[in-house]
Amino acid sequence: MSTAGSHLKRHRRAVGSIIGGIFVLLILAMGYTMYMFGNQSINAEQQIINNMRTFDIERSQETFRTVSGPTLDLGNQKLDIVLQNVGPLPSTITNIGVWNGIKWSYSSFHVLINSGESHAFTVTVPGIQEDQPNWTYMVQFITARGNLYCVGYPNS
Amino acid sequence: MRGRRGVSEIVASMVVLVIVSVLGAMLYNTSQSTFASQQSDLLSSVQTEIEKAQERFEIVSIENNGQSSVKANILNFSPPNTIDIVVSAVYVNSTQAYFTVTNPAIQKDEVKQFLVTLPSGMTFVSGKYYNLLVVSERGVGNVYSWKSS
Repeated sequence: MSTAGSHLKRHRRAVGSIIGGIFVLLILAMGYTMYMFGNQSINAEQQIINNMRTFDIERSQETFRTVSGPTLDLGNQKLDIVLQNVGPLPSTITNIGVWNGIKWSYSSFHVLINSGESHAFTVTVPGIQEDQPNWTYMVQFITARGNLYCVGYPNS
Repeated sequence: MRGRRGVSEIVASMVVLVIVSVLGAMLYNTSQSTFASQQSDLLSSVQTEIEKAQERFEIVSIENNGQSSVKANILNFSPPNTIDIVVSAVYVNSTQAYFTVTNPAIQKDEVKQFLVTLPSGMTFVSGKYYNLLVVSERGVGNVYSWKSS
């Protein structure tokens, strides 16, 4: 036989179950959110690591050769040199460094050389000492991938 | 008497309700700030790890500059869309040295010159080999070896 008191107890038990259920759902939702957040972070990090691995492999493939020069014009303090990209990928020269026997001076460039193509560079070499014929000077070509291609030339 | 007992039950329920509400609000607020702080720390550490993995720099040349200092030219060749590299420490043959530069940040594709000075009492000896280790703020290092002239 149902009384008013037992009906109220049943009703209160049902409310407790709903609250409990909501808590369980909240715990599950929180766990899923944390899992998704962690997963996204790991995927983003993995993607960056893969990109950097590709960057390093491409860096190791970069190769140049001197086609002609270096020809030094002491009067105008200029150096002519032709470089060929003999690597499989296009390369960008971003800086050229010149060692004049005393100090390095770097100037910023942006020259893209496609694979197999050549480019003629005229580099200003200030401060070359004409009276030091035994000194060895140097030009350093720096690529966007961080490779250095050094060409030494005597002052003669 | 019956009426007064009823009022006290209502008051008691309201007091319990207020206490539970206040405690609940405090708990919610604390947990919210704790979770936000943890999430921010995690994001920051992941971001630092990503930037560290992307950081690429190299010492491209060294110039002599007297007996106790050299000039180091450092190139930042990190991939596009990365932030600058900031030099934080330099070591010569495992001994911490000092560096002087207007701004220790190096932008992408930039070659920046740093004056590296040995600690007082130390000098570069002609003909001896030296290693220069440059360390960035994110903990990435690069070593350059040369013979002092």
